[in-house]
Amino acid sequence: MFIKKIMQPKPTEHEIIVAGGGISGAAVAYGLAKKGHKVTMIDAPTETNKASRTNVGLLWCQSKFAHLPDYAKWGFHSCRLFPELTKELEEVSGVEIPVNYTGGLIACLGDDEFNTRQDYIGKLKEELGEYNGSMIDRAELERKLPKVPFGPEVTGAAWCEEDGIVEPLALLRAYLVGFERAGGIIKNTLIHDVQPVGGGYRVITEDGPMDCERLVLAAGLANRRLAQFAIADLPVSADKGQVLLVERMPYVMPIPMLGVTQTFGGTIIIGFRHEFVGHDTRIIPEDIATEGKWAIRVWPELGRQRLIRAWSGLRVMPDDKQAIYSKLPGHPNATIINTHSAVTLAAVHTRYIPDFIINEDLPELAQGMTLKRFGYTC
Amino acid sequence: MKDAPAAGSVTITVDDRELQVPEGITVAAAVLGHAHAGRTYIHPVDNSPRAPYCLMGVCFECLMEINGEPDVQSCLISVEEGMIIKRQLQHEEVN
Repeated sequence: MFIKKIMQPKPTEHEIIVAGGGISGAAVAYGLAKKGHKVTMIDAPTETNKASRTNVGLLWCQSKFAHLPDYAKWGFHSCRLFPELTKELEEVSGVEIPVNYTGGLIACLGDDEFNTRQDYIGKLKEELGEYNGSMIDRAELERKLPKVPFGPEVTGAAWCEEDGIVEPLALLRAYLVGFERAGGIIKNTLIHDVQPVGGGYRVITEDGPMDCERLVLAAGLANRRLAQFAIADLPVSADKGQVLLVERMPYVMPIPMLGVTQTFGGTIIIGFRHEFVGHDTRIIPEDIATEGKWAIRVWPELGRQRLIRAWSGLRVMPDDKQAIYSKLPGHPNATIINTHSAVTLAAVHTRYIPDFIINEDLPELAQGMTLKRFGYTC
Repeated sequence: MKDAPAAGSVTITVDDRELQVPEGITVAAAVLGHAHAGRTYIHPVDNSPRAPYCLMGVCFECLMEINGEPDVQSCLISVEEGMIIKRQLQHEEVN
């Protein structure tokens, strides 16, 4: 009779493990698999509790990051690569990705808001040199969205022709199917811990240990927990949004508007709040009411439509708002990715970050986006 | 096999047609099972015909006009005596 030893299950062996199967993880995992790497992507089983599944899918570069011009340019670069990305993903995956490359608008209420926005865009143009956007008056706004009856306070809008909107769930689905078709493996299990072992890493999951040569942490807010072996206090915070969903209406907004956006299915998502309240995901009626009231000032008709849902989500926000692409301190084979703009930046993530993961340099625009800016050596 | 004992029933009107239906069922159930209405709603974005689907308030495919109120989720409303139900086979054009 054999005596059965009580022992840990033997770790499985992997070349690259990507921790996190949201849009960021999927974008780099797909890019790596396409280059012929053996990639295993681990995603936690609860699919709904994720930023990649709670956002509206804006491709958005306008009106931001005048103080971080490289980051602003990085966003524009990604938007310009997006048509090529979605075409490729549709071909590879067979998943249709609804997307509009129609530009984007930010409505202004009153003259002060219009002027403040105008000043900011002027500054941004100066910083970037090239900027395909401008302020437009109300008449021009009405020409762009002739089927949206704007409220009397609307004075005009910020307009940028390089913005757009993509159906984020279709984008994610296409990435996941494309990844598997390129030979990638998806495991739905929870990661308890990551430990450096030899020159590689042991990922302790609900389904047992998994060893890899290279590790990519793309797990959003969970990166703070998974990167503990190298960095005690990752400078990334939960940024809560609360949104309202208005019932389906005929499709009148092919050009997305920030804060009140019609989805491809006809519903309207309203929301613009940024709240730093830890992981509290409660919906607060008084909070979402501020969003609804604003939306009705922009588009009064919405006040007569039904609200059908409200939900909250936690954005993944690096403490200086800029994306983090970095090796972990002391760990050249462990890469971390954290960004608030996983949708907009998906195209640059797929194209450039795989090379960085396998130890090439970041492209010039992104070289300031490592953890060095927070004082780490990496 | 004999029919189950007749429970209470109510009279409703579906697109001008009077129907006797068991009390307590939902409007969606009545329209599917008694009126055999087929399509009940036109999707406002792609104009495709729709009918009650999930029957639990999630999919919003079962919208109908009930007692003059448009776009009501008919799977969440119980039939009542004298209820007037209209299928929504045209959506309002936004101009």
